[in-house]
Parts: sequence; structure tokens; C-alpha cells
Amino acid sequence: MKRIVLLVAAVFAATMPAASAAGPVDITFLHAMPGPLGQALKQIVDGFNATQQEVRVRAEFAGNYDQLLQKTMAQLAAGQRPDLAQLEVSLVPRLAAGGHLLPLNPLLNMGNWQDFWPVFRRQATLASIGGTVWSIPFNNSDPVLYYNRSMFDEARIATPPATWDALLEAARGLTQPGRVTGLGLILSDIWILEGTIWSAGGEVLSDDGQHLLLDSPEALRAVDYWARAVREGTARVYPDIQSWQADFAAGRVAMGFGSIVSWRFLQPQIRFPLSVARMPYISRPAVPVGGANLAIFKDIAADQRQATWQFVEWLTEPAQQARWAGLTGYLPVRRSATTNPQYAPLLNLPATPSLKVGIDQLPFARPRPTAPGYVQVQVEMRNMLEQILLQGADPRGVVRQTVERANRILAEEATR
Amino acid sequence: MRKARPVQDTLVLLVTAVFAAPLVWMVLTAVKSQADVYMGPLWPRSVHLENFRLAWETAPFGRYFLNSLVVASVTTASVLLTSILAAYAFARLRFAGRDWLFLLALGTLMVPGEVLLVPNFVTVKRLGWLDTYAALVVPFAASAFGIFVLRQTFRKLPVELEEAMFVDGASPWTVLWRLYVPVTLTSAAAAAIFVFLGAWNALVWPLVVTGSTAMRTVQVGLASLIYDQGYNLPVLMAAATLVALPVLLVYFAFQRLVVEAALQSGLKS
Repeated sequence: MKRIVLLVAAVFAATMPAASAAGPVDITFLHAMPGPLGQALKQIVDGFNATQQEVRVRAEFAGNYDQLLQKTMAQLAAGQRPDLAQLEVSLVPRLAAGGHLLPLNPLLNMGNWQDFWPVFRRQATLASIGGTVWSIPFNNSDPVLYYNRSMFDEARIATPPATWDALLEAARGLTQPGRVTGLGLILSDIWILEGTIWSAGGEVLSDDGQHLLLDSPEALRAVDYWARAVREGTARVYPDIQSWQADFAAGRVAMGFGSIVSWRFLQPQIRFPLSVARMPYISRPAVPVGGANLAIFKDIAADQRQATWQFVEWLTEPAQQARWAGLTGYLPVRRSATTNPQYAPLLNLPATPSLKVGIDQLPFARPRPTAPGYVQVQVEMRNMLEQILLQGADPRGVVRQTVERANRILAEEATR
Repeated sequence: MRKARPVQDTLVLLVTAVFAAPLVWMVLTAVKSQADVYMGPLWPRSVHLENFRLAWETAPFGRYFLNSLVVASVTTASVLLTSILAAYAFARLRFAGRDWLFLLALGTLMVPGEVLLVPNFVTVKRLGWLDTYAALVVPFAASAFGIFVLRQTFRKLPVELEEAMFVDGASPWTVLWRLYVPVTLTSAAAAAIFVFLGAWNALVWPLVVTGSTAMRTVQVGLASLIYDQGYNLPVLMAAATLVALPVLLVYFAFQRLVVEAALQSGLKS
């Protein structure tokens, strides 16, 4: 009997190292990066797979952020999960609160945590859910002001507007009734409204994530700037980014806001010199940062967890961050990726002028609000803008109703 | 020689133009340069066939087309087979609870696909079908829509025809395939087009149940060309043209049958 036990133990001992030497640990990385962005991601992942033998990352395209979430939810229901997934930042709190994600607090103890831009440290740490790190900032961007350089020259505007007052002034100078509108405002771009409100000294959500604060005097002041521009006829309202881009390329609107990543899509479509500037502010500079983060799933096997962590650590190295930013135009999450001259060739700022502006804005950048109910609240905010900007409704009344509805949604979601 | 009807003819042309315009715009945009999409004239100044090459290279479209053809064809054939059998049972056989079962089948039309996503995924996973053709075909191999369309057509056929065949000693199986199916081919063709289109255009389900390039379909390829911050429109339209082509071919192949089906649907036996 004893001999059998010994034999089994010996066999075990013999097979154990053999098993781990049998090959690399495979991990699945679900991502939502289409076309050229997907190719950039593949390049990065291939780079990691080539540098070491222990881990092999399989990057899988899962459609857009919503489709990726659908796939992940279906997998979770079936007791399966990806190892690593790219989640749009507003989706992280819900999955974290549902207990699906691995807390990543070791990130906080990493020697270089201080090298992450403060905005990304804040974005990774969800104050509303245990002050824990649930995700790693990955592909993030901030908005900038895009403008038609020729139209600026024609209207004799020498410098891009730094404030909302200067922006409206410029819009007046650029507008030619019936032909050109000065500024384009996009209804679906809620983050632009968030930034405008912050720049007026207001807040969007309370710290506990339970109240929408759009009825403060500061927030209302921000909304009034938008309403005034549309009322004056110097701003036009667009339903989505594509319709604004079409009019901008056709020379029917002179300015508009867009993500820094848009540069590469916008530039080939236009014939005039394209220029980019910082987001204008009302009383102090402030910009939102949004995009997607990487999350590791709970309950994956220890080997996979270890392997995923190894990949993520590598991915956040400044060299990788500079390369990723250079390939895609997204913001690098590490400060040294932009300050250390050795990474400058990877970053390749001359190819994407918007990236330079985006990085310059990082010192006063803030993460977008992320309460679990905020996804729905954004729909309410869009309706609010529609009523104020398109139907000319009185901002105060509409904002008050929106706040009431939003607070009910936020309270419901918080107790779920 | 038919009489000229200027009002009707103009109306028909107008409606045709409205439906054809997006397709024409798609093809025209597919051969333009990016800078000509919003700034240039409607008619392309120069022809950029390289858009098709770029579109083709963005994703492994060769494999995706093969997969979509297999999945859409097999799904269509399966739906036709199951619908013909079920429709005959619901239309002509007598058994307990027949009408209730038919209502139950119809009820499945009211369930939106999003609701079925998770339960279907769990089932497919337990069967070990993830990342296989079976996962893409089997959940859609029966269709309440197909059953409904064919049952209604079967019921319009005079029972006397069937009875005559029974008198001659035919089995229900013979009656179904020798009488019902040939006579209702037009309805079956109409149903087939819808099923083929549905399978060809599916995106979320293939994304969810497949993970490898070897099992993915054309819509996944198309999705990899769309990005929320903007896109290369001519290349996207070139890809859309390629993806739409097989559907148009299938449509034209079945067109005559469908037109006849549409005409017939207004008649009573």
C-alpha cells in the first residue's frame, strides 16, 4: 500500500514540472478595437508574445463595447469567462459591483504607481466601490477643439479661442448665415458637457454617485453657454459625431469638439488645413478623460491570473505606452512615456498633433463620472440637451426635471 | 399592350428611386477618394478600386465569406425542411392540442433575440458547440415565421385535392412532397429569402459564440471597419458592397418566385 502511495507521489512529482514546461499559459484578451486600432493592438500583443515564453496572449475582437459586454455577460452566465477584457469605463462599476472582477490593489503598491497620471490613478480607483482598483487604464482619450484653419484666416482670427467667451466670439466671426455655422455641438457627446460644467466650477455627479448636480448655478451657467450659441445661430446641433464630421469636411461648419483619436479619421477626409487646440473653458481649464480600461476576471485559474497580470504589467511599461500612443493616438497612461526623451520616437507626436494637445491637457484632466446608473442618466442628459437646444425650452425647468429623473435612476441602481 | 398610366408609373419610379438611392450612393462612394466623399461631386472624379483591396485586407474576408455562405445556406435549408413538416402538421393533421401548440410556436416570434442570447449561449456551451458551425446554425434551424407562412399557404389548398390522393392510396408523406410542396414553392421562396437575409446579417450571435477567425462571418468583418470616432467611408462602403453582393444575387435568383408569391397572397382559393 505504502509503495503504491509512494509510486503515485513519484509520478505526480515527475509530471508536475513536466506539465508546466509543456508550454506557455494561454490567456484570452477580449477587445473592441476595430480596423487600424485592432491592427495596432495585434502588433503590441505580438510584441509581448515574442519577448517571453511563459505566456501566450490571444487577442480576440468582440465587436464594439456593447457587443463585448453582451459576450462577456453570456459567458459569465455559462460559467465561462475571458481572462482579460477591455471595458468601456462606464461599464466597470457595474461588473465590479456584481463581483465579477478581480481587485487589482497590487497595482497601488507597484513602485511606479506614482508615474501614472493622477487622472488615471483616479479613474482606476473607484471611490464608490470600496476605493479599490478594478481596472487598468488602457485606451483613453480626451476631447479637443478641431477647427478649419482657412476659415480662421479668412475671419482674421489669429489664435484659437481659450475660453467659452472667446469661442462664442469666434463663432460669431466665422458664421456666414446660410453657408457656414461657426460651431458644431454634438448631442451624443455628453463628455463635452461634463467638461464644460467642470470648467465653470460645477460638478456633474455627487461624490457618492447618487445625485446629478446639473441644477447648481455653475452647471446652469455652462448649459446657458450652449443654449446661447444655438439661439444666436452661431452654433448648430448635430445628432452624432459622423454628421458633424461630414459637415466639417464639407466646409459647412468651422469648429467642433472631438476625441484626440479622431484626428486620424478626420484628416484624410478634408482639403483645408486642419488645426487642433485645447478645450475652451469658462472659468478654469478642465477636460474629461474617457475610453476603456482593462479588467481581469475573478475566479480564473491561478496560472491564468498570474499570466494575465504579467501581460498587464508589461503593457503599462512606459515603452509600451509610448508605442501604443504612437500607433493609435490614444493617451499614454504613464507620465514618463511623454517626458523621457528616449520614448519620443515611439510616441511620434508630429504624426498626430491632437495627441500633443491631449497630453498637454492631462494636468487638469478628470475621469468621467462612473456611477452604475450613469449609463442611463446620460440618455436623460441627451434628452435634456435636445429639449433645450432644439426645442428652445427654458434650461432651468428642463434641468430640474432631468435631475429628478436622474436621481431616481441613480438611487435605484445604487440599491440593486 | 397595356395602357399608359402616367401617375402610377411616376409613383413607381419615385419609390424605386428612394429605395435604390442608398445602394447607388454606396457603390459610388466605394470608388471615391476619402477627400471626395463630402467635398467632391456625387459622380466620382476618379475611380479608386484600391478601396476594395483595402477593405478585403482589413479582415480575413475570404474565410468570412465562405463561413457566411455555409451558415446562411444550411440555415435556410434547415428552416425550409422543418417549416414544411411543421406547417403540414399544423395545417392538416388532426391531433390533440394542435392549435395551442401552433399558438405557442407563434409566440416565439414575440420573444426578442436579445432575451434568448444568454440561455442559447448556455445551451450551446453545454453541448460543446462553441466556435463551431453547429452553434451558428442549429439555434436558428427552425423558425416560427417559416411555419406560419407555409401553414397559411397549405391551408389555402382545397382539401379535396389531398383527399383524392388519399383515395388513390397515397401516404401523408407522399401528399406533402408531391402536392403541397410543389404548389407552394413561391411562399417557400419568399420565406427562404428572409431566412437567408437574417442569417447573412447576423452579427451579435456570431460574435458571442465564435472566437476564432476560422468560424467568423462577413458581418464581423464589416464591424471591424466601423469605429465610433469616425471611419474611412470609401473603404467601408467597398466592404459593404462586397457583403451585399451575394444577398442581391440570392434575391434576384428568387425574385420571380417572390413576385408571384406576392401576387398570389392577394387571392383566395
